[in-house]
Amino acid sequence: MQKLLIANRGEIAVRILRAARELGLRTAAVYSTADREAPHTQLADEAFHLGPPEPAQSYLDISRILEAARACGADAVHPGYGFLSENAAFAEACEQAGLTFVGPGAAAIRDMGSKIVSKRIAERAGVPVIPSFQAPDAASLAREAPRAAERLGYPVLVKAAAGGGGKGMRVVEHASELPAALEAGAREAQQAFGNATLLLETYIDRPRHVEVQVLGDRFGNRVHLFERECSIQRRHQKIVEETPSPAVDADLRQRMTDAALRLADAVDYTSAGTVEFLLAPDGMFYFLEMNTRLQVEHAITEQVSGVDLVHQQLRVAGGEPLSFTQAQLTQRGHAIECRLYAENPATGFLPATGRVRVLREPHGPGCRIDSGLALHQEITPYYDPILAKLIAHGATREEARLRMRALLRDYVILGLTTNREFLLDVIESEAFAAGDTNTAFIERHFAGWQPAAAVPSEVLALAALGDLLRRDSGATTSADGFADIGQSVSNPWARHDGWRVGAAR
Amino acid sequence: MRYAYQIPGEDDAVEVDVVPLDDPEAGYRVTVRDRVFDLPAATLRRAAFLRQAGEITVQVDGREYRLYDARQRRRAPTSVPGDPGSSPGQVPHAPMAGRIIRVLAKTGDSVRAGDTLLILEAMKMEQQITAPHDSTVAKLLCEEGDQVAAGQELVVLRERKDEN
Repeated sequence: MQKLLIANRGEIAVRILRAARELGLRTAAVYSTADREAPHTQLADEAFHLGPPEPAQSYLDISRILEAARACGADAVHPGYGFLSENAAFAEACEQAGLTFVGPGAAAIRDMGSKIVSKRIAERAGVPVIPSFQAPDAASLAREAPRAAERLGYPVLVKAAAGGGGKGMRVVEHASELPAALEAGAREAQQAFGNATLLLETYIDRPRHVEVQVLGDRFGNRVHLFERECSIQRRHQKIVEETPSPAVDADLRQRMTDAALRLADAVDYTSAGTVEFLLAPDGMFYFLEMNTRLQVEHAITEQVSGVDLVHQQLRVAGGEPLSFTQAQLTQRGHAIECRLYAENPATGFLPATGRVRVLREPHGPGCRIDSGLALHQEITPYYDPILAKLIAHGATREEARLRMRALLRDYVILGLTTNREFLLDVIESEAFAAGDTNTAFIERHFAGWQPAAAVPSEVLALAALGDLLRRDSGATTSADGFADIGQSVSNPWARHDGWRVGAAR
Repeated sequence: MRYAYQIPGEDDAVEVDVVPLDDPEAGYRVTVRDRVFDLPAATLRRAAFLRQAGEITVQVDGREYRLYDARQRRRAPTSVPGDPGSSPGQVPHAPMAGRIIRVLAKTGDSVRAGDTLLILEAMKMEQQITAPHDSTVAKLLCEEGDQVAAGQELVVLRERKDEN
C-alpha cells in the first residue's frame, strides 16, 4: 500500500488522512463543490473534485470515486463512516478495480447489513437476540398475535419489519390494546416504508445502549477492545458516549465481549467493527446490529486501550497480522466523547447552517478534539451535522467528566447554532454524574430544553467593553465584525481582517 | 460611551455606559442596571464575541448570550427560539435551510390543520411542513428538488371561512 484515497469528508476524513500519513502513506482526498475549501480537501496530498454538493452526485457516486482513485494512482480506499462505508457493492467494486478496501469483506458487510440475516447469524452463534414473532401475512398475524404476545410477555413492541430510526414503533401494555395497535402500526408502516409487514418483539424498557469494539486480521486473529456505552441519544442518534460503561462489571463484560467475538468469528470478520447490544435493567443483553466500519465514537476506545484503530485498519488491510493479543489489552482510565453538532436543541434538534466566524479549540492533558473545522468555513445543509468530536480522558470517570466540562466550556464556535451548551448541561447534570443513563435520558431529563434567557449584567458589561475596544481598534468595516480572542485554528491563507483584544493598536 | 442592547424576550433596551478610568492601565468603568464594574481590558480574554449586522453573540464561562444593538433599529425577535409560536411545522416557512424532497399539496387543495404539505430535508433529517390551520392551498412557492433558505416562504395558504 502506497497511496490511500479517503472516500469521505469532515472530521473523519481528516482523522484518517493523519493516520495514513503517520504510517508513511500518501493521501488523496475527494470533495464536492461545497467542500472545495474544507480542511480535508486542503490537508491531503492531492484532492479530486467529485461533483455537485448533493451526496448522490459526490460522496455516494461509486464510479466517480473509482475514477478519482485511478486518476491519482491510489492503491487503497478508506470509506470512513456513513456514505459508502457499509455498501457491499462499493467494497466489491474497489476490489474489482484492484484497490484494497480498508474494511471487512463484502460478504460480512452484506450479511450484517440485513436485519433478518444478521439476527439469524447471531442466533446461530449463540448471541442473545430479542425474542420476537413474525407472521407470513397480515391475516395470520391478526389471528396469532394475541397468543404470541402472551408468550413474549407484555409489554410488547409492535414495529414495522422494514422500519428503522424508531419510526412506526408502538408499545402495547395490555392485550386489549393489541388489535388497535396492529391496525395503526400497519397503516403507519405502509405510509413510512411502503410495506405494512409488522413484527412483535419483547419490549425492553429503558435499556442502555452498550456496544463492543472488535478487530480482526486476515489470518483469523480477532480481539475485542472492550465496550462503549452510547445511551445518550437524540432522535436515535448518539450524542454522548463513554467507556467503560458504568453499568458493566467484569462478569458482564466477559459475557458481552465473548458474544461479540462469537458473532465476528461467525462472519470471518476482518478490520474494525462494532457489535451493538441493548442492555436491559435486569442485566440481560440482546444483539441489536453489527456496524461493519469504523464508528464515530471509536476515539474513546483508542484513549482507553491505547490502540490506534485507524492504524490497525490500515495495517490489516495491508496484510499484516495483529501485533498484539487479547491478553495484552487493558482498559486504562475512562474516556467520554461529546458530539458537537450544527443543530438547535431548543427546536427539536433541527439542523442549523451558517459560517464559522469565531473558532477556538482548547487543548490540554487528557483532551482530544477530532475536528474538520476551519475558521470562515461554511456549514452547508447537505451533510451530517457533525462539526467536531470532543474527547476527554481521565484516570477515573469523574476526572474525565470534569475535563469534558472544561472542554465544552472553553470550546468557542460562533456564527451558527450548535448543541454545545446542551451538551454542557448534560455533562453537568446529576443524572449523568451518577452514571444513571439509558436511551430515554434526553426525554426524561431534557425535554423542552431551552438555553438560559436572562443576560447577567456582567455579560452586558463585557459586551459593551468589547464594543468600545473594537471601535478603538478601528476594525469596523470587516464583514466579520468582531474577531476571536485568543488562538484560533485558522487557515492563514483564508484569514479575513480581524480584531484582537490585547493586540498592539 | 453609551451603548444600548436589546435582549430577546425583553421589552426595554438596556443601556450600558463605558468610561476609561483615571489610570488607563486600570481599564474601564462600566455601568449597567445600577451596577458598576471596573474592568481591565484583559477581562475580555474570558469572553468570545461575534458581531454581525447588529446581532452580538457573547460567550462567557461556557454560556452563550445573544444581544442586539438597539440603535441599529434591528429588533430582537419577539419570540425566543424554540417557542411554541415559532416551532417547526406550525407555519409554512422553511424551519431550516434544506432541500424540498416531496411536495404533497397541490394548488387548490383543501387542507386540515396538521396535514403535511411538503417534506424538507437537511443533513439527513426530514422535516414535515404542515398546515397551521384548516385552509386552502393558494399557491406553491417551491418545487421538488428546490434548495430553500431558513425562513423562506414555501406555500401561500388562504383561510377557509366557508366551512364549519
